[in-house]
Formats: sequence, C-alpha cells, structure tokens
Amino acid sequence: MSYSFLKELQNLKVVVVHPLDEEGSALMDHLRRIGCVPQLIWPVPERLPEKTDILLLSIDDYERDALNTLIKSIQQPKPTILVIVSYEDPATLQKVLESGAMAVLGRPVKPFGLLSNLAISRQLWHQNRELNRDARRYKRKLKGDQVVMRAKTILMSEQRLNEDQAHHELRTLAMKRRVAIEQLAMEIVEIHEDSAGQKNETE
Amino acid sequence: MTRQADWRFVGKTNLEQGGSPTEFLPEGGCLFSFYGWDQVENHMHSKNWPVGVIMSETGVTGAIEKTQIAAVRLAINEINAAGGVAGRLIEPAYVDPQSTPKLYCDLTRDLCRDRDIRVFFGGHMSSTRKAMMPVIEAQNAVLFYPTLYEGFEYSPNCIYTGAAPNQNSVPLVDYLYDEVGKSIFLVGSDYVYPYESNRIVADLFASKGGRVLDELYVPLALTDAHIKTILERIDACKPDQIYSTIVGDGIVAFYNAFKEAGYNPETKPISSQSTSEIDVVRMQPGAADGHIIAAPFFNSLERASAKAFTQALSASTPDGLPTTAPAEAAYFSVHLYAKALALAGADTRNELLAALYEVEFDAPQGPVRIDRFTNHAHLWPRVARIREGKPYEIVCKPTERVAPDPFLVKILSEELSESYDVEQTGTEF
Repeated sequence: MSYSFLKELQNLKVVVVHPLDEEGSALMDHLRRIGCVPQLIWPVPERLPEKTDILLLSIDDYERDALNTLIKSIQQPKPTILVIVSYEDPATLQKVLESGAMAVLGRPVKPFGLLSNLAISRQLWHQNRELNRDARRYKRKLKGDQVVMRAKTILMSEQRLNEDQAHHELRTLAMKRRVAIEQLAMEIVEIHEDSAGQKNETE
Repeated sequence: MTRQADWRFVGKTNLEQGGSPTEFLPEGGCLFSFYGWDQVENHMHSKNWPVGVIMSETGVTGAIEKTQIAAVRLAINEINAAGGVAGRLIEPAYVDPQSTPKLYCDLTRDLCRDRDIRVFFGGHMSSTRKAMMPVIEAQNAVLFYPTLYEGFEYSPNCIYTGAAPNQNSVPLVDYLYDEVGKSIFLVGSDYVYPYESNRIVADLFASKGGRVLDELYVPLALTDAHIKTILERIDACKPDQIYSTIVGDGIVAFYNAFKEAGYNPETKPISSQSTSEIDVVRMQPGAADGHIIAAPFFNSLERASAKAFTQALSASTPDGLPTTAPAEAAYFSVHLYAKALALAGADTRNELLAALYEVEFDAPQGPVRIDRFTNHAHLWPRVARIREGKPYEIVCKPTERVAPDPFLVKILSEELSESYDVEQTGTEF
C-alpha cells in the first residue's frame, strides 16, 4: 500500500505555488528527493496547469486576492491540495478550509513529515473520489427505483395487474425495445402524467 | 560565563598526552564526566576542534558500537598525529549512552549546552538517531551517523555514512535469489529498522518471483524462548534461506542455536546486513561459516587501505577488536569531517557541509564521498560468505561506486542494479 503510493507519486503532476525563496527551494528539493517531479509557479497563477494531480499551495496574507481567484478557478475533479501556512488565526484558517486542503504544512517546512502528509492527503483524496462516485451511483439508482415503482403502480391500477405481473410486463416491454427498465418506466410515467394533465385540462 | 552554575564538577578527567588533545572518558558509575571550571576556561580559549562521540560501550549494541568508538579514536589520533586540522587538534568528548535512546538525546543536549559542541559522531539503532535528531536540528549541529539503516530520511543536519537500503539490499537480494534459493524466512528485532529492511528485502525478493514464507519479530533482549520460537517457525515453513535483521547481542545466540539445530549454512544460510565481525568472533566455532553478510566493508577486505585500517584498529585496542562495516563508516566519517574542516576552516553547519560535498576520502572500502542532494554516502557495497579464520569469500562486488537512494526512487522506477556482477568466487577489485 505505502509502496504503491510511493510509486504513484513518481507519475503524478505536482504543482507547488510558493515563492522561490530558501524555503521554496528546500521544499522543491525534498519533493525531488522522495521521487516527485514538481513544478514551481510564482506569483500565484490565475488558474492551475492542466491535469494537476497534487497542489502544494502557500497561503500568505499579501496574496489574498490572487489566492481567492486561484481557489475559485479550480475545477472538478479537484487535485489533492496541501497548504503551507505561517499562521493559524481564523482568517488564515478560513482560507485553508476554502481551498479544500486535505493536509496542512506549518512553517518552517521541514523535510520530515512531508511524505506522510502527501500520503495521507492522497489517500483521503482517493477515498473522497470513490465515495462521491458511489454517492452519484446510489442517487441515480434510487431515482430509477422510484420511477420503476411509480410505473408499476400505474400499470397495476390501469391494467389491474398484481405487482409481479406489472414487473414482468415492464421487463418484457423493456427487453423488446432494448432499453433499460428505468427508461421505459420513465416513459410510462411521462405518458401517464401527460394524459392525466390533458384530462385535467378538459375538465 | 554565567553558565558556571550548570556545571557539576566530577573532578577526574582523563588527560592524554599532557592534556592536549584532551579526551574525556566515562567514569565508573557515572555516565560521563564534565569539565572542571578551569578546564572550561581553558576550553573557551581553546584552539581545538571539539567533537562529541555519542556511542555505547554498554547495553545491547555495546559490542558493535565499541568497534565504532575505536575507529573514531583511531581516525582522530591519525589526524592529530599529523598536526590536526589547520593547526588545531580535534578534541573528542566520549560519552556512553548505554544503548538507550533517551540517553542519546540527553547526552547530545548536554554536550551542546555545556561544551558548545556542534559536531557529533554517533547513534546506532534508528531509535537512537531519532532521539538525537531534534536536539541536533534545534542546535543547528551536524551529526555523522555511521550505521546502515532503513532509509526514508533526510535532515539538513545529518550525514548518513552507513549503507542506505538500496546499497546493500539490492545486490544482496540479487545474489540470494539467483544463487541460494527461491523461498525465504524473515526474522528481525522488534523496531523500525528490521520492519523496513525486511519489507524492502521481501518486496525485492517477491518482485523477482521468490516466495516469502513467514516473518517474525523478537525483542532486542533475546531469550532462549524467543530463539526456540524462531527455530520452530523455520522448521515449520522449511525455507531455502533466512534473512535476519536481528540486532545486538541476540545475533550470537541465534546463530549458535541455528547451528545446534543441525542446519547447514552452505545449503540453508542466514543472510544479514546487521550481523558483523564482532558477532562472528563471539559465536561458537563453526556457527558462522557459510552464512552471508552484505556490507560495504569486511574485516578481511584485501585492499591495502583496508588491511592497514584493520591492523591499526586491532593494535589500538587492548583486546584486538575486529573491524566492522559500521566501524569503517565511523572511521571515514571522521576523515571526511577533517577534510571538509580543512577546506572550510570553520565547523559551523553551513560552512562544514558546503565543504563536505566537495571532498572525497579513500576509505578502506574504496573512495567515498557525500551526496549533496541526500546527505548520504556513495559506497561500495559487497556481499560475502563468512569464512571462519579465512578471508570472507566475496560473492558479489560492485563494478562501480553505488549512489545512495534513501527513498528508493530508482528502485521504484524499476531501474534495478545493473552495476553488479554476481560471482561464485570473488577476487577483490
């Protein structure tokens, strides 16, 4: 697990938004030492380079506006973000939270701890992405199930079928037309609602 | 000079050669001795280069660390006999941290605070290095750490002169897989170096297609019951070979018990990076012969400077200590320090390290230097079969010096060692 992370690290695009001062070059050196190929950008760019996998972002007061612009510009899927801070006051903390950071490196940045923070934030990022994917999948599934249920109820009441028969009917129709059962259910619900609407209008 | 209040005067200090260079040895019952007030005055105006040597004479790793102390002493005496560095002598303070991590930390702090020492040699087990590093970094001091370890570390204040995991492990596993057998049993002491070293060896071994049959960790204070468990587990899984990262005095007992259990090292060897000559000389006759060790230096290395080092170290110790790889690393660490000091003319971290990256020393193992990027050493790792009463049989030797790769970046990108020739019988380069 930890080994595969180290291997992954070598193939990731790591962007460092940090001044090229002594601390910045020490940070770049240590990233290279642990196998990354980092790219340093300064001043704060308006947007990130394409396909940034990991972003190490220096959060400094005097770059407030530029940082706001950059943070707002970051599109989904967001990279794994680690921030570097000098303070822990509520204003800085606010920026840390807005950035979507998964790890925080305190100044002065030391070599020790960088690898662990990269590993843990990348793991959180992976878990987050999987959870989001699962959430989307279940949401879609739940919506589909609701529509199928509604379509079954319509068939049951209009054609006087029991639930099993209604389900069988839906499946047979869907297979005949080679569409997903959810799609067919959606069409039935729409037709039903249209005709119900027309009925309401004529009344 | 307000620090006078901090001094606890012990009184007896061991003055060598008319007091200069002055060597302060541990007192019986007391961990270390302090300068008396007049010696402090003297030290404040001293023209010497003070260094701290934090290595154990007692405790579980006392035996191997004694060879490192003897090597540091030898190197310092050689340098001082030749007039010192820039006309000033190196002035060592030796303290005994008793193989106990907390004492490594406390003694480092004491030497920094009370004696203004900023250059140190020492640490053996990783736990002892980790205990010293916060103090070393806070004081912006420099620690030369002359012992192989598990890698994955960089400090701007530490110079790692033992082998990094890529340097010994890669050629060792190449040899074990190609020449010894396809299945392996891993055993180690219960702390960070064995876990990581075993993991690296297991990964390398498995990536070639070998099988890791079982893995076991035992306390540093090894008892007969632990050894019995190890042997039972070996007996149960019947590996072609054993890789051991047992550290300290338990090594001797384990190898003795392995022989008594009737295993033949020629066909079922124990390989190790932490077993050394100081363990071999303490084993029963016949217990060591045929086992495998990987290190940049062996006591019986045929190079002229290796022979000279081994003879000098033996002559300088009352019981004729053998040289070991950690001792050789300690020895060349002092020489690299002295060369860097001569170039820099100052022993503050920034000046000393800037110079250190520029110097090279013809160490007993071959010419060595420090890598600027990682603070680890370029070394000449070898693999040997232990031969009792004869030179170790070198079975794998480097065709070129091997750069340190403490974070295994190159191994991960699958550029496995191409700089090695595995040979059945060895001749020295």
